[in-house]
Amino acid sequence: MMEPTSGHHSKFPPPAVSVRELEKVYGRGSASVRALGGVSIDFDAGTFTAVMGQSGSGKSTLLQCAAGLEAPTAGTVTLAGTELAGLSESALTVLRRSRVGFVFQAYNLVSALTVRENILLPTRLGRVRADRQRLAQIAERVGLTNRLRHRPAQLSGGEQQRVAIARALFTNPDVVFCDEPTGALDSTSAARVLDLLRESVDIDAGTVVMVTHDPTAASYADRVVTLADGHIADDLSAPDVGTIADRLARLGARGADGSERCTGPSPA
Amino acid sequence: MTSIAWRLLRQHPARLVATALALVIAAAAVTGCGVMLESGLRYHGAVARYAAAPVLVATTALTVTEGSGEDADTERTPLTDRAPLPASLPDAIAALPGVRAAISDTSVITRAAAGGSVSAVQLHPWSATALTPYTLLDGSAPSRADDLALSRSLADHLGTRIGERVRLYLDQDLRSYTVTGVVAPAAGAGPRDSAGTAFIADRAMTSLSNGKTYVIGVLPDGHVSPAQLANQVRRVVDAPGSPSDGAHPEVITGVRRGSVETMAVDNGREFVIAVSSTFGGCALVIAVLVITGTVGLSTQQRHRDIALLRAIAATPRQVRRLVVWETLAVAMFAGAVGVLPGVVAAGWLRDQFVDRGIIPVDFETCISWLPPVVAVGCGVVIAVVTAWSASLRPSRVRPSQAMTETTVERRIGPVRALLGLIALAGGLLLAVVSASATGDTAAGVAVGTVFALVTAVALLGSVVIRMGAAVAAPWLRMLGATGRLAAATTSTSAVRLASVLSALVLAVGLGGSLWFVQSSVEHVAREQATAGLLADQVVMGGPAGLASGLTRRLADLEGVRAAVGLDRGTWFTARDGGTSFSVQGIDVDGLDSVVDLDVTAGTLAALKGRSVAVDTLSAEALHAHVGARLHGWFGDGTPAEMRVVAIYRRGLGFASMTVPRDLLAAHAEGGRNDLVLLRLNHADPGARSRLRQQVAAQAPGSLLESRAAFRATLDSEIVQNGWTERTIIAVLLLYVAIAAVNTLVMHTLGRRREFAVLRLAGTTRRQVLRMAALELVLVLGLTLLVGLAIAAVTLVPLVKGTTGTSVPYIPAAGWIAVIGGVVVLGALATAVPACMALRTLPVEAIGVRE
Repeated sequence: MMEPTSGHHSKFPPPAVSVRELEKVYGRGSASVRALGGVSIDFDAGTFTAVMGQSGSGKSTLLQCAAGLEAPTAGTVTLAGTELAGLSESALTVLRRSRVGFVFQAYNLVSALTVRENILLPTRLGRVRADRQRLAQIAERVGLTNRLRHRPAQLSGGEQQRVAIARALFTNPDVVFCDEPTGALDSTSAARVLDLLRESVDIDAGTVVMVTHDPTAASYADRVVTLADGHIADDLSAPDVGTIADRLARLGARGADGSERCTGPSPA
Repeated sequence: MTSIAWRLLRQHPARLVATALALVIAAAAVTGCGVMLESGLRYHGAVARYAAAPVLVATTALTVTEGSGEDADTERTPLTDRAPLPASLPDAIAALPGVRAAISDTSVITRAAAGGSVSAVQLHPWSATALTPYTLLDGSAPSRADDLALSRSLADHLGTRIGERVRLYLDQDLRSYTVTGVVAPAAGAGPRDSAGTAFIADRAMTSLSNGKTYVIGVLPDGHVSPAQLANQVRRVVDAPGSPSDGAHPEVITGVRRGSVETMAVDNGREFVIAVSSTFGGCALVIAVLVITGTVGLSTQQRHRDIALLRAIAATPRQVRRLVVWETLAVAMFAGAVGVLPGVVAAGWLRDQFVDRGIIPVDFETCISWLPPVVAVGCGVVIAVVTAWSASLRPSRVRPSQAMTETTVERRIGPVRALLGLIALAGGLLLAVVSASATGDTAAGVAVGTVFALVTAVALLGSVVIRMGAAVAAPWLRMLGATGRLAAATTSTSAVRLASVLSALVLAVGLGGSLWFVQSSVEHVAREQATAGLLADQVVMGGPAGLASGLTRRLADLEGVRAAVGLDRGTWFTARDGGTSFSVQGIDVDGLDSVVDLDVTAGTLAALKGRSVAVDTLSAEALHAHVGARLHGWFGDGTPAEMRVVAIYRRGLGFASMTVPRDLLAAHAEGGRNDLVLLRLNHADPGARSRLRQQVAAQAPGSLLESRAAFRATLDSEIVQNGWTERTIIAVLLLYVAIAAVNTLVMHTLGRRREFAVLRLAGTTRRQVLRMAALELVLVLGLTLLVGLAIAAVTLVPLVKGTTGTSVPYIPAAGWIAVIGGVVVLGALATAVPACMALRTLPVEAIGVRE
């Protein structure tokens, strides 16, 4: 199939996130860096997608553009049925606040606020009344019911990430973007975090798009998309850890050879 | 948003210490000035001597109108000497219905001696006792020409009783009077004069004062109210139609009667109002600059927090509101804290002014709710505006940009560059214009020029720093790795360093200009007074003055080569809305042997009749040359037209204008600041002792000083006169110094993470400190270069305008203070926080959010 990858499921309902011909260039003139060179992809609702690639492949840039945190140089992004192109910063923020969740690798939480306040932050800034029951539910789901009054400094790295996920899930968003959420965690905490993400897709019918370099983390996903040099190099469906690691290694070897990059899924 | 802002503020209050401190000092300054201003506006002097007369008629002010029609601007200046009233006025008023009596009052200040004691005394006609009122305690009213009634306090001081004789030192000679009665003011009040009060017969007073009346006190018939009475009197007093420029009699009632009793009230009031408005204005202008810097820096240092909020949930508007609310909270707190010190400072200032005789002792500071409210209000407005503009860029930038680990600085934007150039042009323009500023406006103009130029530095600072780093790079690289690091970090943190640079430049620019304008003026004045004084001995009269016959008598003494009398007064010009000039009246005979005014055109020998010699600065201001005619008024409101016969240089050391002594004597209250300058025959050994005897006999209570001692007295007088300016300048300089130190400390503390990265990469603590030191050298070098340039641009035209010399006087101590101060403060403000920042382990520090 040479057409741009679309969802493996039927075209109805519409994808949660859809990007077309997305390009991003940083810097100007001789110092410019082409992070994305025309990427088109749909992320279907109710799926867990992992985006992988070597550093410099453009995966974080893809995530940030898709989430509206970064403005693309060219191309369109449609998020939760809305095109992001013409929106002002304020409108983008309002959209992100209620329909999108974001989990970074580190520095997710405002250190001055308690866990509870951090979780409720998007809601409060959106002037919406916080649902206490939902807060209790989410807190239990992430396993931090007893830590609600503590500050981030009193939590471990894994616990902080779980708070970030709680915050992301609290508003019941259309899609949750995660940028290397388990990068700084040990395997147990990482497993807990990934379980939470998996649950949100399986139980709540949410959508998760996760950038990662860890094949184990990627194995939790329904679909693994690999980027290389700003283009999609690979698109696998429900792979296991071994296949993923294999693909990555091959990509790395090919890159080291200096051979041309792929523009579509490679033959298995 | 408010509660989130409050939580964030509570976590890291230290971040806002710099802003809080700047706001506290600003609030204190504005409160203090506001209290002084309000006290000045409400001050009218005590109504003591004329308490019993509800309506007074006197001439107290000069009105000068410039322009015409809509543009007409009327200036009202208080007179410096008492103005006589038209002779027909008392009778015209007495004839009005409702008027029980219209009593003319005059006074003559002189010295009284009885037994061994001497006292200054103010003489009034006996009929004026009804105006206070004074009642006779003992004895009878004076009826004969040499009768005298003393107030009780004066009688006690002199130790005289009824029937004894008192000597009064009047104009032509010494007269002996008999005490016939003792009076005291009713109701225990009465004037708080330092001179005692005495009354002589009306006829005697008339001949003493040549029939002049200065005040008319109007007493009403029983059933007439003060307002009705005032209206009646106005029909006679006010001229029909619109009054022309000049000093005219006015009807004065109520609280304003206090300014009639002494000229010091209105003049003191004007002084306080002028000083407090200037000081308050300067403080506000500087506060804006300082607080913009501190708020900008603290917002910059939180870019990570702001970026996170933007990424998660906060719209740009919400982020701006967060920063504004935070700064607002600090402003309210700082305002509350700063108000009390401001009030205390106002009280202290009032005491200092009274001690130095600038304002009368009955001036009271009245503290209402208005100045604190205004002070807090100003603080709030400044804080909100600066916070809003500081948060504009961080709130609008894309979250992902802000979230990246390194903050890459951008090149200067076109809008910012344009604004910077406009500010630069404005500052240079102001500097050129300042060449025509007069003494009182000098401080304000200097602050304005420095403000504009420092704003230019704040806007264009990053360019300046990058250029400086580029120029210094080759030399820094020669110093090894630390040098290379220093050059690189300075260049890449140019935007952050721009706030530091502008705070330091403000301190150097302001310190280098304001202080030295003042010192230049004082230096030139002292130089001129020293060089121009040729007299050997000087007799100083003090408040009671010297009799005009004294000069002649001393001139006739054996061994005295020349004796020249010198009086001081004021002259108001008809141009520029009645600006005042200092005038000295001097005897032309023998003038050349006692003073050298450094005449550049014309000759002083031509000073006869209605002629005047003008100093070079005044000649420029009035566009006068030899032969020109000057129109204006003397200090007592009498119009004068004089012909310019000479122009001289030493105006600052002596007076701006010189007239023949008789001309001034007719218009200045005989008394204040009189001097007699003497030149002795050095071949005659007994001349000095003879002189001393004569002076003791003829003018007891006056001072005889040699040239050296008199020069010292003049010096201290000049220094005293400059006290107010110097205090204001010192406070402003302290403010900017504190702000500069604050900014530097904040900047260095914020580099904790940067130092940690360096240390983890292998740099030792020593090397990091060395790098910081090299950066500091670079920044301080730029500071001194730019700051001294600003100071020079501000200083030179201003000094030229106020003293006529193009080279400002900067003593060696001044250079050391400015340059040394910047270096020492800069070093301390960097070294201490750097050491503190280096104390935490690098691994810990690297995880710290800035």
